[in-house]
Amino acid sequence: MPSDDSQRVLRVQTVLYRDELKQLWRLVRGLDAAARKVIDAGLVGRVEWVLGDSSPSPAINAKDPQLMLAATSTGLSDVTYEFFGANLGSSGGQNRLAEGHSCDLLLVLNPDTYPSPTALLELVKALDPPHVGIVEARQLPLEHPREYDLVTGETSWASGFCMLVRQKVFDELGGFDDEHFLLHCDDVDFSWRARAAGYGVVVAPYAAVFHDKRPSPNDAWPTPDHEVYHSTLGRLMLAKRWGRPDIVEETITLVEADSSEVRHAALDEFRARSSAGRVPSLQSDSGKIAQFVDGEYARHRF
Amino acid sequence: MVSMPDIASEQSTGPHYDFSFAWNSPYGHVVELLKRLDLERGAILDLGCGVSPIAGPLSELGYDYVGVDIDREALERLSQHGIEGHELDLGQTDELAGRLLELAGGRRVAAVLLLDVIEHMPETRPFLAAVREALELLGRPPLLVSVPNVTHADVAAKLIFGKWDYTPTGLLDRTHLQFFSGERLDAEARACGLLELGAHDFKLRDSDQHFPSDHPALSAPSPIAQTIRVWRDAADPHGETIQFIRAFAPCDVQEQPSETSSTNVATGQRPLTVVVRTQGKRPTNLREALTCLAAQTFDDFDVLLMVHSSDPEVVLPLVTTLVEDFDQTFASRVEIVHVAGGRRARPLNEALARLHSDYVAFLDDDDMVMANWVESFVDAGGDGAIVRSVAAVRHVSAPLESQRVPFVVQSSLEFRYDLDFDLVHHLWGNETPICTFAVPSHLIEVFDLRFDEGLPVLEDWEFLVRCALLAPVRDTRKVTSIYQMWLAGESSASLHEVELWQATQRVLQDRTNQRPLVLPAGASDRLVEMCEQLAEVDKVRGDVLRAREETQLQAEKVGELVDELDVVWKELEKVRRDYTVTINSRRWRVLGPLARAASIVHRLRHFL
Repeated sequence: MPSDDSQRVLRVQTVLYRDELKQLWRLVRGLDAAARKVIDAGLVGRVEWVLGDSSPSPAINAKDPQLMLAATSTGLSDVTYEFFGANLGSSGGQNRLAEGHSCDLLLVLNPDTYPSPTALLELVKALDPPHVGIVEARQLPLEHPREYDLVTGETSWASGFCMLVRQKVFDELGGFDDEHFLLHCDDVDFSWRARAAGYGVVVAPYAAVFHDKRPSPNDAWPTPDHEVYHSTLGRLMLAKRWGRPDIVEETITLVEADSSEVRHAALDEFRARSSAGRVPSLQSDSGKIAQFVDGEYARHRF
Repeated sequence: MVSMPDIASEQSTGPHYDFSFAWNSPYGHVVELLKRLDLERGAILDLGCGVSPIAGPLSELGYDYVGVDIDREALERLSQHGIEGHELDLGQTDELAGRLLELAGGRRVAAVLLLDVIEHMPETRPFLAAVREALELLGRPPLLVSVPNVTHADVAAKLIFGKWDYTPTGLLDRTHLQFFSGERLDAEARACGLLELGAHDFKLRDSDQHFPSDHPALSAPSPIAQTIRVWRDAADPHGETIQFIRAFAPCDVQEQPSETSSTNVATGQRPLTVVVRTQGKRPTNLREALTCLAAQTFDDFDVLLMVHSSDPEVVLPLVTTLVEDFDQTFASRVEIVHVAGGRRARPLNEALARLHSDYVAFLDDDDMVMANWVESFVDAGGDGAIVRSVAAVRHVSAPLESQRVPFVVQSSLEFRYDLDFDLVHHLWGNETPICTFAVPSHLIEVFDLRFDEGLPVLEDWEFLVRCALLAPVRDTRKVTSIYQMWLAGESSASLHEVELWQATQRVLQDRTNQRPLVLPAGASDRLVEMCEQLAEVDKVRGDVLRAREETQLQAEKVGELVDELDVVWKELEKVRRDYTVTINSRRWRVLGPLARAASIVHRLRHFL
């Protein structure tokens, strides 16, 4: 990492899956303004945005990145796009985008977001203490209920909707575990491995990033099938790695009692992977890091 | 040319006007307005003067009165009273300016009067243009006009019921060729280069059109009449105006208003304006609220950022920088407006006066919205309907000094508000926070709607109910915003005592109760349902009361039994005491064994 902060490169990585172009235009405008702010503050010298596409067919036109750059080039230095030709999931997509690229700071960012103008500035500032490896933005308008220290920002894990990581930490950890966590719990596992390696994971409360989530009136959050599937499978994988056979058994019992075919499919996949030895190996010191609290991976405030 | 003969003029075939002067009359108001203008003395040209009822009062004020009319008979009467009069056909507009200059004869003209004249002219604008030209030649004296108001509540009420009653004189004088509202008079004057200097309109609650007075549209106790009056009064201040009494100054500006009457209706440049209210004290909250707006899925809206602050030198630069930090496509749609003074409603009202969109929605800087907030309003808008979405509630608090957070979220979302708007329910309390409704700008224009600046709290509820009594409400049935309730710190919910909210609520309920109420279709069922529930509650209450009475009766009986038992107990006690005394007595101890033996002998004998 350059000693002079103003020379640092911040690389923003976004993985797409059938996202609308309009949504990306919304994001690039916010991202460009936030990039300008963090550069003006002298905390980084360059911000580039790279899009990776896991869709069955390209979600955007090949010229769109340059059109976006031309329309918003006050903060972003570059916008590039890569069509994967396969669904790598969020974790695999992020790993692919990070391969072979050198930067100082890496921001994992969802496509359905809009950073506030000071978001990047606050994220980078929160990453300043040397022991901090990962910083998560505060989600608008629906704040994540996960508990974090209101003084230090320390928390159990950081959500991948908007997560800033030191590149060297990302490399040291080998990126996300895309072999076992395709869509869900990849961020939890990544955070816990970072903490196991001695890095702090913190929330930056002043780094506000809008995340396009919409509640329904009866308090039921509409969850698509693929999220149900991957959250179930992810939980089983996570409990396996982090030394909680009781959680594995509990989850299996709950899924078996559940009428959801999607959950049953996830359980079948887990059993098949277990038989084939394709489940995570036990993480050392898992007991000191992992938190399984009331079905969540951290204590929740509400 | 208008002719206003004396009522005594029996030869006249036209209407008979009795325009004797009185201060409490349109003529009196003209003289009063002239006095207020405090003009330099000179000649006053009274065009279409008729029998000149104001010649005397004006002469007494020191003006040289000059009557002008086409009616020779009227002029003859002027002459008999020693009043200067000239014959002139005002309808000859191409000659008007020159003829007036001629008859002024070099005198300084202090003012020109057009009292009950304009409405008799076949074409308003050419006539006023000719008058305007004459004013120019005469040295630009002010023009005073008196014009009947065809939009008086009596006329409006009767028209609803298909009645349009011409009369020999009055508001619907059968010789009127043109009809005027306040809006039209203003527009015509502006179009002819006449700028309003002052007004002293003549008003009467009951006009000459107030007949038959027992008609349900007119009868004061009638709910229909009351409702029409409320609506009419809400639209503009001229529901009781009989005559517009206005003074105009010639000016150079000539506007060309639309030929339609709705000249002030918003042109709808954008579908929506979002009014954001801030004091600038919570920049992080404001930034986050604006971030929510910048992230909307539908971005064809503009933002009026109303900065309500007594310290603009400090706050405005901060807010300006905060807005400029956003991407230009959003920042360019934000207009920052400083607002000084007043209570919570002042910035909202200043925003309402600046609308250039089809709809207006409101957002406080500590509330947040989902990405489809604007889109939902716009999609459901149209047909003059108020659009209502739903807010989730979240409790938040200010951080402790040691905590490095802008605020602390204390609860998950609560879904406490009804999905469907219920006007009857809203008469009791609010189910629609300010961030959950959008009002058509046209409705605001038509009724000149504003928030009540006198209210310390609940100004949004009062505004919404007033709107909802005038326009339909369409529900999106979507949760699109988060209404944040502060457990501590600065917010309306925490700064004001609960008592204040409750007292204001009661005041507003009383205020609504003072007015007739028109409910939308479907409300009857709601009321019936509520009455049925009330009847059920009454029945249960009656059952409870009866059960309580029965219990009381039973308790009384138990009490009586206890009393009786007490008596028996006392008797038993007495027997026991007597027994003890007897047993322990000397006599019993001596004779007792003998008595028991005698008793045994006695019983044995009985068996033998």
